[in-house]
Amino acid sequence: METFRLKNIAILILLLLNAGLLVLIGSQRWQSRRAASETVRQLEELCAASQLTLDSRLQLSQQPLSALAISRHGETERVIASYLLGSSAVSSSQGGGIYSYSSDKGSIQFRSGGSFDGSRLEVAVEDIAGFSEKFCSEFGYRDMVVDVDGGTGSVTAVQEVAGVTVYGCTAALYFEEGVLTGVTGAHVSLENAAVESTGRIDCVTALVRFLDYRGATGIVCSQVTDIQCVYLLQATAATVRLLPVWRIETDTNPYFVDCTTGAVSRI
Amino acid sequence: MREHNRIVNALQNAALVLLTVSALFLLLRTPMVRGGWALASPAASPQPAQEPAGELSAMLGSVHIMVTADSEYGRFGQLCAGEDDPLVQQVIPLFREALGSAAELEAAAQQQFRDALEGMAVYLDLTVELPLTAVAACLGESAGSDRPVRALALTADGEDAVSMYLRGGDGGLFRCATALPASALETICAGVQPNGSSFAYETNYTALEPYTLLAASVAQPPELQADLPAGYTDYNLMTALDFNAHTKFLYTDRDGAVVVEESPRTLRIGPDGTVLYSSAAAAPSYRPGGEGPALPEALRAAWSLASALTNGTGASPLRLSGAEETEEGTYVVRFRYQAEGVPVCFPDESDALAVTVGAAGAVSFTYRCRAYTPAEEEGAPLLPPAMAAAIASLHPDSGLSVAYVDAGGARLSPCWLS
Repeated sequence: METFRLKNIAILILLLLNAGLLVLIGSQRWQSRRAASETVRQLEELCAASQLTLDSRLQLSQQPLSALAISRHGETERVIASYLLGSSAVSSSQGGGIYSYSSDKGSIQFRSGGSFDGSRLEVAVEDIAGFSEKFCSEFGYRDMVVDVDGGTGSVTAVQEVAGVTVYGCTAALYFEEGVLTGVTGAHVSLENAAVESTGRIDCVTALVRFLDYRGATGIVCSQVTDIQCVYLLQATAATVRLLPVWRIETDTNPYFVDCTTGAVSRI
Repeated sequence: MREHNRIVNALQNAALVLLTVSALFLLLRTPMVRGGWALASPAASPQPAQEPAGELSAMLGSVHIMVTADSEYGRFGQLCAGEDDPLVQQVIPLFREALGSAAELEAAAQQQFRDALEGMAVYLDLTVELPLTAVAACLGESAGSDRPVRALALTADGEDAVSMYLRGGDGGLFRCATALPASALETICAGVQPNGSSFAYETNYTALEPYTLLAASVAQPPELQADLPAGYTDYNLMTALDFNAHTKFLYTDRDGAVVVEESPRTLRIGPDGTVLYSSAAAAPSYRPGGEGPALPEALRAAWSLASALTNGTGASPLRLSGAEETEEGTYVVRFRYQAEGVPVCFPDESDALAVTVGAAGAVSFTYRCRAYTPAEEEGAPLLPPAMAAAIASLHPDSGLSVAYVDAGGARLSPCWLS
């Protein structure tokens, strides 16, 4: 009988503890939501005072991405070279982190920062649109722009990693009379990528930074039409990084706001 | 009745388990515990990125940089661009790739070089003369030549691949082909806005050293406060240099310097910030790798020593200013101070740190311990670059740069140095 009562007391205590924790978590969430909506309201007031309107479809609760340190992935480079030059392409190190892939169709160089470059290629392509589409789909390029007339012209696209656009990682294929004559661009792989623990500014703060920039530089725009967190390729002396930046689309020009420093730059 | 008790007991147990699990779950959802857990759990915290190899990259001091776009009057020049400068961060990988993929060096003519500089080009004036091996080592590469280099340039020459030019302090010019694609240079050159800078040979100041970079404008460096750092103590220095900080073999000489004799090493710590060290055999901490003395290993040993001294005392950071091999087969590696990206010179042209590195490690060094901090008050502005160039051109073959001169005072002002 004693055990029965003790267990009931324990159940009662646990019920009270659960209820208390639920109240605590609920109040925390309510407070954070209230703070977020208050922040958004203040931002809207600030924008209105600066004659800048925010599109109603903007998602201001988006979370910023983390910066990524990128490692070179030789296998991806080999596959890209094989796609463009054929499987007979042979790799050779040129020194300085430059690798050259050569075949009878030409040669393409891959640099340590992720960029690649090939000129004077002679790769006959029957279906330029299909060839380019397959290239983009295999290597994660999106937003393909085809500017080809009579087998001559160029195809450009920008890379996406994990569904996020990487600015600076574009690919351009150049054709002349149905022959791929040149290729240039950059490609990154998330294999062995390391997350960097840098400070990240949120969407609302990015817009405030943009407002400050607008006020300081006198740029002309009256509406923010879109805001998204994207990556920017940064190949520096020390490392290759994917830097998260807020891409702010306005009714005049798009701008980047660095997620770490808050620095604003025009694209 | 027994059956009823058994069912109640089972229900009580189930309720206890459920409520305990629920309480634990809710507890983990609370912000305090979530924050603490995230800090404590390696799985929850992101894996920190590895620091890149090539610790020697921090040795290089600020540089003068000139970028030429592919257009008339399209030069962008910047004096004293530090390692954090975005443009330097962009061009350093190019020089590393060019050095790593460089073919045989061949002599080049002045006119050939100047023609190459008319097109897309990046010119990097190191401001000091260094062996090519040392420059390559600082960039994380190796070089097949010990040729002394004052400046490097990458030019497109209208070809698919970039050419690299090396200029020595004596004016000698060398060129080599590289595997770096010209498009890499094009990206850099297209990204800068010309600012009206020029080389001296393009101006009326022909008396100046021809490749002196004449920037159209110069950012005003701050005034500096100079002093002995608070950490300049016998204890800190002895600890930094792996001496026994409680040694009995220590005395103060007539000049007030503390002398530590720990056979075969002797350390003399002067009251004015001068530190002298000599050893018949190297300290194990600074023993370079490998058997024979090679410049990259000597640089590594000297850099390790420089870092130990500046970190141990809180002195200003040092930057490489020279490295040469002696007749005895040792290397003398020299360093100077750099504050706010601007070199600090001593009136007697002595080094902030000069280390002699032998096969077994650091044999001796002389060090002048100083700390420089920006002053709050603004000083007199620098002379306009054109006026400074005009004055400097009165002294034939002189260059022109910005520097601080530390004559021992408490306050340093930036000045033009010719």
